[in-house]
Amino acid sequence: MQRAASAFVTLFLMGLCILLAGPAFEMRAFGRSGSIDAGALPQAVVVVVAVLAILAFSSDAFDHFRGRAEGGSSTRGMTVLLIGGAVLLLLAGFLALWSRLAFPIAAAAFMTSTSLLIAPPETRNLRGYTTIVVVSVAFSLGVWLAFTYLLGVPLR
Amino acid sequence: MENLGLLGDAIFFELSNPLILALTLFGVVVGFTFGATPGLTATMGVALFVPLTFPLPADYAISMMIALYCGSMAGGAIPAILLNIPGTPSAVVTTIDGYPMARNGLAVRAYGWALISSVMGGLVAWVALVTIAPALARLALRLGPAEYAAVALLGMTIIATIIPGKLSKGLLAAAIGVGLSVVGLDQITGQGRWTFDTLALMRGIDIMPALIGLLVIPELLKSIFEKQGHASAPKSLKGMLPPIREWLGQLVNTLRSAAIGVATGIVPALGGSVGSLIAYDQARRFDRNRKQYGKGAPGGVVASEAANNGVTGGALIPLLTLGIPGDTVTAMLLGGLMIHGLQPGPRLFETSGDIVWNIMASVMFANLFIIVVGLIGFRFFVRVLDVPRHLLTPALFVLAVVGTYSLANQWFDVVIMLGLGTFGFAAMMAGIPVYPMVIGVILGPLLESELRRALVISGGDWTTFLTRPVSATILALTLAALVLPPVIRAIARRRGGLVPQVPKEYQE
Amino acid sequence: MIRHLNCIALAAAVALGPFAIGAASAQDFPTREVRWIIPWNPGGSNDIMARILQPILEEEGLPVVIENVPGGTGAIGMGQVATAAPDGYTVGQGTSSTMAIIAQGQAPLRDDQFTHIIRISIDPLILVVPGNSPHETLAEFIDHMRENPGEVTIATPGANNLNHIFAAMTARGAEVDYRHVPYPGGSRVVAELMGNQVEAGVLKPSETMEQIQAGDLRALGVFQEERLDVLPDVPTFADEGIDVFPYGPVVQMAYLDGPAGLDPEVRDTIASAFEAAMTSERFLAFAEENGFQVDPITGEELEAEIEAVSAAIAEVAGQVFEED
Repeated sequence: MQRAASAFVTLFLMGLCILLAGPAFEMRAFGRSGSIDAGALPQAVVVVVAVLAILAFSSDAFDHFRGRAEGGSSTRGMTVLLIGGAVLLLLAGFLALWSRLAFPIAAAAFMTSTSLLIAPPETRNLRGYTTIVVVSVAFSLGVWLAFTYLLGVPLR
Repeated sequence: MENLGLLGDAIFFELSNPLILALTLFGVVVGFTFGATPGLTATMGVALFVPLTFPLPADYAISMMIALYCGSMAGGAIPAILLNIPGTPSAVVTTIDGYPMARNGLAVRAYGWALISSVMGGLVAWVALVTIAPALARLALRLGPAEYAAVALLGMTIIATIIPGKLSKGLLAAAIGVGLSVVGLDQITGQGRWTFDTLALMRGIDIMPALIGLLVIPELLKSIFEKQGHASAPKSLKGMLPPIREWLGQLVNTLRSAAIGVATGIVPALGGSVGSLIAYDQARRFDRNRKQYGKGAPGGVVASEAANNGVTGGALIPLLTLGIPGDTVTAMLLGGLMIHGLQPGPRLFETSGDIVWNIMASVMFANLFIIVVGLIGFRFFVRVLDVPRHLLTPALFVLAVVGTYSLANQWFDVVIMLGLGTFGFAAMMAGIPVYPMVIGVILGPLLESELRRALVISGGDWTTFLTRPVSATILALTLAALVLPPVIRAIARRRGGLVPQVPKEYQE
Repeated sequence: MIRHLNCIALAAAVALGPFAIGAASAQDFPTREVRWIIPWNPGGSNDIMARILQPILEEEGLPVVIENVPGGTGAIGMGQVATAAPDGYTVGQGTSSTMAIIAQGQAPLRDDQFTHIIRISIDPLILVVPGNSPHETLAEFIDHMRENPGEVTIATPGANNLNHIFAAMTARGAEVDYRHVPYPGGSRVVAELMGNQVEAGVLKPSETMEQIQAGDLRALGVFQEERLDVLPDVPTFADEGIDVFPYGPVVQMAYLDGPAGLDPEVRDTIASAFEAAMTSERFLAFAEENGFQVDPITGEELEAEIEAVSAAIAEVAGQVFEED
C-alpha cells in the first residue's frame, strides 16, 4: 500500500517539477558579484524535490525487494485509502455544491453523506439514520447562522 | 526587574478584565474536550477556533488559543487512564502506568495525579517562559541576516531529521514546503514567481490555509479509523487528590520531569511524547519503587503529565522569540498570531510588548484553570468519549472548510486547503511526514530572504556565515543535528541499549 | 480603556447579532469592521500611523481592523487588496514605493486594479546612520563611501522604490558604487542599524524620530529641498552640494486604496470618515511631531496626482536602476 502511495506521490511531484522547471529557470539565479537573485530558490527546489522524490521511492522499492515490507496488513491500508479518498471526494463535492447552492444545503448534504459512509454497523437502523440527518441539518444551519450573523462572515 | 513589573501589570490587567479570563477558561474547556477525545488534537482545536477569534483583540484571541493548547495536554490523560488510549499523542506514556492504576481501582487517584502534575508542569514551564523568552528576544535582536538565515536552516534541519521515518522523506517534505512558499511575489524584488500571471496565485499560499490543509485534513481522515471506546465515569470522585505527604514525595520527580519537558519543548519537533518518555525513563531510574513502574506507579503518571505540560511552555519560547514553531500546535498558533497582525520574532517584544506580556500572563491563568476545569468537568469529559465519531468528524470537516473561507473570505483559500489536504493524505499514506512541509512553508521565506540579504552585505562572500561567530556556531549545531541522530542510534543499537521509542501507531 | 469598551461593544454585538439581520447595501455601509491592509511590518511608519488613526476612525463610525501583510515592497498586501471583493470591507495602504514597482512592471499588478480613495500623508526621507557610527556629518559619510568604493552598505525598506532611488542618489553623489540591502519594513532597518549590521539607511522621520532623540540613530541628511522642522540641524543634500533630484522632484506619499470597481457611495463614506479622522487635532499633532504633512485630497485630484508621481518615478527609476 505504502509503495503504491509512494509511487503516486513521486509521479505527481515529478510532473509538478517538470511543469514548474520552465518558469523557474527563466528567472535570474545570480545577481551581480555573487549575490543570489529571485530564481535561485525555485530552481533549487525543483532540482532537490525531483532528486529526493526519486530517492524516497527507490528506497521504498528497495525495502520491498529486500522483503522488509511495511508493517500492518495491506487490507487495512486499502480501507483507509478507499474511505479517505471517498471522504475527500465528498469534500470536493461539497465545495462544488456550495458554489451553486446555499451553504446550509450543501453542508447538510455533505455531512449526511459522510456520516452515512463512515457510520458503524450498530447505528445502521432507522433511529441511527434519523439522528444523522437531524444532526447534519441542525449543525449546518447553526454554523451558517453563527458565521453570517455573529462573526460577520457571509457564507453565501 | 523591569520584566517583573511588566508581568505584574499584565496579570493585574487580566484580573481586572473578566472577558479575557472567561476566554482563557473557555479555551481550557475546549482544549480538555479536544484532548480527551482520541483522534482530535490540539492542532485541530486551534485551527478550528481561530476564525471564531477574529472579532477579538489579538491578545484575547491568542490567550484563548494558548489556553486550548494547555488544556488539551491535560485532557489527554483522561482516555489514557480510563481506556488505555492516549487522547493526544503526548499522553502515550501516561497510559503505561495510568491504565494499570485504573485497573487496580485507582482510576480517580490516577487522574488526580495527572491533574496536579499537569498544572505543576505547566507552571514550571510558565516560569521558564517568562524568564527565558524576554532575555532570548533581547539577544536575538542583535542577530543580523546571516544569523537569521542560520537559525532558519537549523530549525528546518532539526525537524527534517528528528521526525521518525526515513531521512530522505523528511528532507523531501521540507523541500516541498519551501516550494509552496515560493509561489507568489518575491519578498525582495516583488517579482512574481510561479504565479502564471494569475492574481489568485500572486497572493501566494497563505500560511493558515496551508496549515489547515496539511495538518487538519489528514488528521481528521485518520481519526475516522480511531478506535472509539466507551468509558463509564467512576461513581465516586473521592480520593482524587493524593495526600500532601505522598505529593511531597513526588515533588522532585514533578520538577525534574517538568524541566525535561521544557527543554524538549524548546527544541523544535521533539514534541510532547518524546519529552514524557525521557522524563518517565528518568523517574524510573531515580525511584526506589522502580519495580512498580508499568504496573501502576503514580510516579510514572506524574513524570509523563508534568513533562508533556512542560513542553507547552517550552515550545512557546522559540515561537515568541524567534518565530520558529516547535510543534504542530505552535505552528498553528503562529498562523493565528499573523492573522491578528503580529509577526512572531524578536521584534514582537518591542512592537507589541503589552500584548506579549498579556499572552504570557494568560498562560499562567490557563494552568490555574486546568485544575478547576479538571475537577469540575471530569464527568463531562468522560461523557465526551461517547460522542459518536461518525457524527463528529463530518462536522469538523465543515468547520475546517468554513474556517478556511472566513480567514480572508477567499474561495481560492478553500481550494488550496483542500488540494493540500489531499496531497497531505497521499503523502501520509506514502510515509512522507507532513510536519516538515509546514515548517518549510513557515521558515522557507525567512531562510531565503535573510540568506540573500546576508550575501548582499558581504558582497557575495559566502564565508560570511563562517566568519561571524554566532552564525558559525548555529551552523555547527545544524551539522550536528544532521549527523548526530544516526550516529547515536547506531551506537545505541550496538550496545543493545534502550533508546526511548514512541510506539509506531502513535507517532505524529 | 478603549479596548475594554470595544470588548463590551463586541459582547453586545454578539448578543444582539441575530436580531440585526439585514441585506448589506451601500447605504448601510459599514455593517462590520473594515479590513485595513498595511503592506508593511508592524511597527513601521505606515503601521504606526494606522494605529493612531484606528480609534479616531472608530469614533467617526468606521471600525477598522489593521492587518499587516508585509513583503514585496508592499505588492503582496496590495495584491490582496486588488483581489478582494470590491465591497469596501477590504482597503489597503498604497504608497509611492508600491506605486514605483507597479510603474516599473516589477509586480504583476496594474494601477487600474485599484480605486484610489484618499491621500493620507506626504513623507520626507532622511539618511540615517547608527548612533555609534564614526561618521558625524554627511560630508564624512560621503568621504567614507569614496574611500571604500562598492563596499558601504545602505539599507532600505523594500527595493526599487523611492528609498532605493535615494540610496542610489547618495552613492551617485559620492561618485562610487555601494551595496544596497532591502528589508521587509522600516522597523527591521532600524533594528539592523542599531545592531550595526548595515552602515546607513534611508528612512522616514516618523519611523526614526524616537531613536534619533535617544541617540541610537543619527540623521545625516534630508532628501528634500528644504530642511525639516523636526530636525532643523540636519542639512539637506543640496546644502552639501549633492543633487538628489537630477530627474525632477519626486515625493513619497501614502494613500488609501480599495479594489477596482468600488461603489462610489461606499468610497465617499470611507473617504469622509478618513478625512475627518486625519484633520482631527490628535492626528495633526501626531503628524507635526513626526515630520510628515497631511494633505487629504480625493477623487480626480488624487487620481491625477498619483498618475503624475507614478510617471516621474518610472522615469527616474528607469535611469537610476540601469546603473545599479
